[in-house]
Amino acid sequence: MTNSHRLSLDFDPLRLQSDLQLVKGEDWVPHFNTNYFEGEWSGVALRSTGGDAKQIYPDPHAKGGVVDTPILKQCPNFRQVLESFDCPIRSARLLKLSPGSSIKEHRDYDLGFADGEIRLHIPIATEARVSFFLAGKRVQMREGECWYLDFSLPHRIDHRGAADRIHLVLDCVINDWLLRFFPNDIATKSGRAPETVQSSTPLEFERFRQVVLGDLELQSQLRETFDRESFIALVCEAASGRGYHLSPDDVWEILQAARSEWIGRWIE
Amino acid sequence: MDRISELSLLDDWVPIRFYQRDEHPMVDWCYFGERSFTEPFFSETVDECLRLPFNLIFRHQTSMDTLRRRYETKPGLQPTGFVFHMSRCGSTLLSQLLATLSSTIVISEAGPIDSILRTGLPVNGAANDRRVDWLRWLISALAQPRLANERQFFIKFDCWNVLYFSLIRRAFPDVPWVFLYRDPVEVLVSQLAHRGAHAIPHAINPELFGMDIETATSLSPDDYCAKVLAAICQAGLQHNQDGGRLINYTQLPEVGWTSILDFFGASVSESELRSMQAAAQFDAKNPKWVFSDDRTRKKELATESVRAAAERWLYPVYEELESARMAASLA
Repeated sequence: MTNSHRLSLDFDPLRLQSDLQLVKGEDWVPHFNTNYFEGEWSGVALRSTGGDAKQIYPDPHAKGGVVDTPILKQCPNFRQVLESFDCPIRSARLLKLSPGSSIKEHRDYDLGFADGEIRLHIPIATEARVSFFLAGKRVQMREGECWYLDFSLPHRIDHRGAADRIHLVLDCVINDWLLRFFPNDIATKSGRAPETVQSSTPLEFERFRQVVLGDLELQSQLRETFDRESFIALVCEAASGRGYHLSPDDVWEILQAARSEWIGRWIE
Repeated sequence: MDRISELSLLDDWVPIRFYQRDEHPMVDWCYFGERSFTEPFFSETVDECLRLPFNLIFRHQTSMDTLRRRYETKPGLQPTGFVFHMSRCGSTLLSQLLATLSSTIVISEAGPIDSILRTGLPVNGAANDRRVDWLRWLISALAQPRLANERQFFIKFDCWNVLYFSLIRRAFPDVPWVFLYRDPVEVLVSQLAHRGAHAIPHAINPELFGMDIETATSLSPDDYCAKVLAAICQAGLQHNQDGGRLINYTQLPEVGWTSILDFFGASVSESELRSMQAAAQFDAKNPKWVFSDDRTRKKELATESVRAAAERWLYPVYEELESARMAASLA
């Protein structure tokens, strides 16, 4: 996967900018973590856990449902952008960086293909004198474009321009529709060997897997539960009864790997 | 373990993916049990099945040879009919109508079928033989009745699959098929608001639609999408005489329970007919919504550039499809 990729999805910057006029000055919530930035950095939530417009930090582990905030409801063009995505959007925010500000080099984790969720940036107002560096290389994103960036790599921003730099930032759940905007499945969905369960898991599990695949009765026992915890307990017990040693952590990791593999099956 | 019982281990399992491992084509199987394909798309049913933790980590991975031996011992149902389409033209409505028939399996836009077709661009001659076999074997594994009374089997293909028509026809020479299309501006408006894989140059190789990558990326999104749709319509038109029937969106939903069923030779009971008519009231992709004819709204949303792209690339072939359809209805 490349560090950055522009999706072939463009939005009309003028329409996005006209919706910006509908967001009032007092709606912007300042960013408080001053450890890694200088200057002024603020945000407005358009879709957040619980639907609070002031909830500008998405929590990747939050359970409750995501809800459109009142601000999104009054901005037809932003709504249209969100509606054009055929994947769940877990968070949508406007982030504003004032002229003269800079964000020191840092990394953001928890957002990547392996996590099943990626962050997309759509610049609404920006200029050439905003410099964004990802892994030491400058990436120039223009108004109305839509970008994927791997934020687990070191990145920083210097805003030497004259006007506010405002991006629409979406956290999207990866599905087949979204994957299609990424280049590596160009010719065929089947072009490469996926990381199979076998290659990434301990031999012990692979041996036990073969036992399960040949034992119809054991299969139906293991199919009884949708609940992850009780499934893990069932697998460990069945394995140990047959002389295979798997810990709950092993099985948990095997499940995680299988889930990531399925989500990322068409990505190199 | 002997061969027969090895094969019977795959009873009630469904091939969910075709892929290459170390240059070897492989099939990934998932346990379905008695689950039928009720969701509008194959991938949605698979995702539902993978919610079961068992299905995430216990799946058979077999060679194509196993798939062939399954085909030889359990060929499954012969397809009753195929649905090809230009996308956003009511094809999901049609497949969902067919799915209301109780004795019927409907597979809609199945990833493994598309993967087999797209293991290469359309080519002729001996290089195709292997793919024709693979396709026949894979479809036979999807055509297994898992509920007692299933007798009919339909496949709705991905819209770009009609460009592989000759290959599909070689695998299934006698299966009747329909090609569904719709007013170009209405389809374009829908695609541009919400693009399918074929409308994105990266996602599907533009050579399939007769364009090199440079041409594809130099075109505006409206023009690219219109040219892709035109290539799809052209293929539907070109093969129409070979067992096909053209259907315009305007004929839906009624055509779904009248002439299409006769054409496919499908049987339908009085009560099934009533459930089809009831299903037609709902939006096929979002069954919670009531289906609405959105032709006027789609037309109003068209920009000048969309109209121009439709006019330039799509209306000529649309007119030809219309004349061919009219001529067939008079014949």
